[in-house]
Amino acid sequence: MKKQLNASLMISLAAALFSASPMTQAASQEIAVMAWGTTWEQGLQVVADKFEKQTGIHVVPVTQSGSADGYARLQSMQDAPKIDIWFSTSSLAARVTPDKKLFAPIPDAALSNVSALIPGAKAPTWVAAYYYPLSIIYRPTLVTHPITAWADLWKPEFKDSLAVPDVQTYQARMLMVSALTHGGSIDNVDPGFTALKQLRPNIAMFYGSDSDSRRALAQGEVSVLIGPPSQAKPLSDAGVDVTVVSPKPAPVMFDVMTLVNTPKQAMALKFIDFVLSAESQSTISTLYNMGPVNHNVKAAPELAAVLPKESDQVSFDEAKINDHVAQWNERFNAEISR
Amino acid sequence: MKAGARVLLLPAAALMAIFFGAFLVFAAVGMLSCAPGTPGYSAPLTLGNYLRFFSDPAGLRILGWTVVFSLSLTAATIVAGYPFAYLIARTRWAWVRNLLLGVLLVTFLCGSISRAYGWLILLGRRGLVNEALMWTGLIDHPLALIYNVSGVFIALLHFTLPYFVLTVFGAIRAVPSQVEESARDLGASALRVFFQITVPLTLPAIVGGATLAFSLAISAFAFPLLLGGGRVRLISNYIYDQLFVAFDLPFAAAVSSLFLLVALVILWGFFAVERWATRAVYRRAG
Repeated sequence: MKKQLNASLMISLAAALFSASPMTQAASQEIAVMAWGTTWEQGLQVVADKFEKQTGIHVVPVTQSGSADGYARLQSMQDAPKIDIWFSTSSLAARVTPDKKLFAPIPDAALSNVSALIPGAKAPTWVAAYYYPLSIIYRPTLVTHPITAWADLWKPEFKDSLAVPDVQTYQARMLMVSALTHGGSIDNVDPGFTALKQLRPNIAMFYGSDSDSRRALAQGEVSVLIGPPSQAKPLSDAGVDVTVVSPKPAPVMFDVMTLVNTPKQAMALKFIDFVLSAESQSTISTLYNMGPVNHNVKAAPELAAVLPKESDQVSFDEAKINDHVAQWNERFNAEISR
Repeated sequence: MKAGARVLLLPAAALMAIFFGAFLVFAAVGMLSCAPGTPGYSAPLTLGNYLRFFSDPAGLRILGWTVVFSLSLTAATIVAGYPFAYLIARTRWAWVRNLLLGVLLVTFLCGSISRAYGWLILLGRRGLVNEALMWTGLIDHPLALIYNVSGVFIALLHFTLPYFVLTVFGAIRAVPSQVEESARDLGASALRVFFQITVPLTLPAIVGGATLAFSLAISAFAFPLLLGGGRVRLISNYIYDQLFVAFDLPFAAAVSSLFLLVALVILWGFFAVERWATRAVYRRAG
């Protein structure tokens, strides 16, 4: 009897200790957020630190090399996801978030900043964290004339000088620009492919990784990089001479936050709302060079100078992009990047 | 075989069953279909994905190119690696052997990603190789050594070389130097001794090393991705695109299964050559 009593006493003591241990409490007061490494390094970590200070909820950063890679990981843990918020491109989010098992809706009522969002920044299953145009970033010391228009890239003086995103990177927006500037459209991409074929002699690399393309520009492997202005920020911070232009037509894209179907949705929604707050948006704009989705926040002066005018901006039907991107990718690989 | 020996085989058999079981699951996923408009997949089971690959000229071209590229790289590994292994095995100076073996081991210790970035710096337009060639006046403009096939080939050769050299090095050391000396004493030139004595006696090891090099080359993914500049696409990159661009897991699984079969058939060819070489060497030795 005494032995039994001792045993039950020990079990109760252990249970009490365990439930009260700081580790257990910490685990219940933390969320895991998966985003790109660059996003974490350049802006999101600062936002997460402030969030933790204000709410006591610890944010565990998880990096993904691309949103497709992140989604593959989410799929592999779909029965018990260990990620609470997943950052993705709006295209991929539109494609995968109808999966009700893996993703939860983001109710407007849960976001105090929802009324401050710019048009198009909120959908039932995702909300934009920032926006960015597809721009031209170049090294003024390595080019003979300043670049002012997309057409400049086709000039012979840029032979073997361009880093261009492949079709899967930035959701085929380079193909769209090529199509729009050569008489095509999202429904008629043939002129875009023809123009990209003509651009081939000028393309030194097709990239799928931001950091690879930045390294190539920094080392002078290429003198021109097609990408968002955020690509220029770490280079200019490191003292590399870079200039950014966002000529017409300027495709504008969102990177978005999705809510993964986990028991920590309430805490995750708090974080999402915090990212949308004026303070966080200002931080992201200043540190990461991304456009704020909160209309009460003005883009950082450095960024505002290179953001395209509203009349120059173009957007595309994500459903159409999703429907065709695999086919365009195969054609791109067969005709352009071979 | 005694019952005890059979029991001892069980752990290895279980391990192989798990590996091949995983492969069979993948082959079975290849018979599912992609759910239209979503990244999911569903029944019924069909051979559609397998047939689709055989009717896709782009996919077949990439598979063919991957095999040709890997065989070329294997040949280059043999040509570059054998003299290197010979030098290590036959050098009179122990410090040279130790130095070269040390260099090989250091190469092993570096990960493939750091090696790829190393080559990016060395072979770039402003890299050491181009700077040296420009400085000597051999070229006016930097050569395009990366973001194309040559960059991937050089980096992969560097990757496969240690595997081949270390496999062959032991075999060359095992050839008694007296055999070579006897041939020389009987009037054979150094070149004849090399090609008629040393190389035939080490043929099984050459084929074994080549098998390793081929396996590494045909499954290469990171080197084409980092050094190919989007222009070099091997079958692994094609499968990656099916997974992460088209989100067509069943088709990716089907292509992977077919790719594995092709690789296994070629590897079986290597093993057949190895068996033939071993038998030929024993026949010659009487």
